[in-house]
Amino acid sequence: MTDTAEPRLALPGSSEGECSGADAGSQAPVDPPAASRLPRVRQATLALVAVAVFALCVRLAEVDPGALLEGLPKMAGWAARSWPPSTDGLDDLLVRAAETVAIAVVGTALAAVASLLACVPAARNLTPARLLRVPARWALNACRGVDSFVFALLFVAAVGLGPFAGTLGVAFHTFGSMGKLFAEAIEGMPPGPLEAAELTGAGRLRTVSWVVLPDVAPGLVSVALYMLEFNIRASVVLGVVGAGGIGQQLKNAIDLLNFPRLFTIILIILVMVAAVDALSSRLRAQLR
Amino acid sequence: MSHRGAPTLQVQRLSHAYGAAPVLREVSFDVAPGEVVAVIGSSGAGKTTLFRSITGLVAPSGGRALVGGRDLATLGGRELARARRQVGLIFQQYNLVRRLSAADNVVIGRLVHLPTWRAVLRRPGADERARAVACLDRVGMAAHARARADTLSGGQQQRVAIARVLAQRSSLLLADEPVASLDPASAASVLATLRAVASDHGIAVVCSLHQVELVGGFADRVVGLGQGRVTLDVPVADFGDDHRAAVYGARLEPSLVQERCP
Ligand SMILES: Nc1ncnc2c1ncn2[C@@H]1O[C@H](COP(=O)(O)OP(=O)(O)OP(=O)(O)O)[C@@H](O)[C@H]1O
Ligand SMILES: [Mg+2]
Repeated sequence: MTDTAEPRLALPGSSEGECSGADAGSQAPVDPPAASRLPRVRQATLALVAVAVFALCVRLAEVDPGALLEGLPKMAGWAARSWPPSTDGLDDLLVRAAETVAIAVVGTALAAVASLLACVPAARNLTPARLLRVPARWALNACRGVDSFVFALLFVAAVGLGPFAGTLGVAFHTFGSMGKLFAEAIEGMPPGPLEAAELTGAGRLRTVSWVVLPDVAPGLVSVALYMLEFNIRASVVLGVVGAGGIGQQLKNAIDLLNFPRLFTIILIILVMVAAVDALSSRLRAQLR
Repeated sequence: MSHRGAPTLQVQRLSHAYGAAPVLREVSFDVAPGEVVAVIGSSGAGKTTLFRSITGLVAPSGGRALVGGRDLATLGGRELARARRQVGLIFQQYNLVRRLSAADNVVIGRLVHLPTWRAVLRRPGADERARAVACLDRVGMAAHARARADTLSGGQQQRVAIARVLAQRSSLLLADEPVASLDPASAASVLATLRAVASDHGIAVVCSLHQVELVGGFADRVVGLGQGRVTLDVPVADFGDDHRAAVYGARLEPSLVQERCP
């Protein structure tokens, strides 16, 4: 085979579609870790430095087992006081939970559309020109580097309190992560079919819809579902900054030391997350 | 058979090296419209590299290949895309899109002719679909038109790849071992199809083969490739056992000996 195999990417879901080719297992041999080939003195020095850095980190994190021990009885007391869970205003809580789900769903969907557009210039095998690809990668990395929570803070200031700010926050951060994963899924596809389309004289638009998308579609859907699961969890905290969803109720309950209500909220969150995870992994199992 | 007119393909002192290792060394030959040239040579002789250089998929390190008088390696962008329509390549590895049907894979050969909205929505329309099935029919694959490519056997995939190139209707057709995975009957029928395409439509065909016994009724000329050089270029009528030995026997390896004396 003359085509040099691209290194495979360990991507959620991208493995499913890729097992039929003869090159599925052709991973480059991994070098043994560099440390094992270093002389002893270097090894000892490295170990010492690592320990020192970790100790410094423990210091900076103000790790204090005493405080934890003192706090434990307090938490046990709260747990005792939180039974039975309260059903006051349950309907409002459920509406808020639905709002959290909606933020995640809409945010993920917006990000998916944007990622679909951005992954073409960001994928090396579709855009060899660095002039286009590098800025696309930077834009994705920048969005990925800023958390949904931080974006939501900005959008609350820009568009006001409420779930729309949260949706935008989720959309922007997810765009960065999803666009990058989409581009990597495309870079992992076999080069042969792309060359075949190239030789018919087809342009990029036609190649993407006839060669790239059919090949990577299951991988992309799988990535999008993963991001949805992740975003349900991420959306819970957005309410803390007033960006909608059940997080606001969570914070209020803690501030008022209303433990039965807190318990109810946590139960709702757990059920919500588990339901979406189950649904999403069932859908992913059906991809082929 | 006489072949008039300017050659469709002119390979002129074409060289290529992967890194420092030379693979093609000043390869030269012409192919006229309607002419069929069989390229033979042992494994690793550089046949695939030759085809890839002609199409511009790899840049030659020396010399050039002219298709219809144009050197694809000097073109870029739209001009290159336009020029490439005239070159069809049947890949040794088929290179089908795994999750598309056989018919859709054949439509890929005609992507440039689809209106943009049909191309984007992947709705080729009844005409193009019928054309694709007709091309599949020429290689005996019409019954599998709706089958997904990754459910087909190697030989079936190879025939779909051939149908895709037939659909493209290029003026130059390069075939890299197009019958390597086929049973003798299918192989003979596919080569007859390529022969007919050349004779009926004046398409120049260059086809690499390992089954030397097949060149007889198929090719007009035989070009031998050995270690990247043209070691032989004769009309098929003159091609005999001594030529065959010159191409394959020059560097007899145990595996090759076994292949020849089963
Ligand atoms: N991508 C590549 N990188 C480096 N060397 C390569 C590459 N492709 C081919 N080669 C080398 O070039 C030489 C010619 O390869 P090529 O694939 O053109 O031979 P071939 O005649 O098509 O062989 P076969 O009959 O086995 O298909 C071989 O020695 C091969 O190792
Ligand atoms: Mg080859």
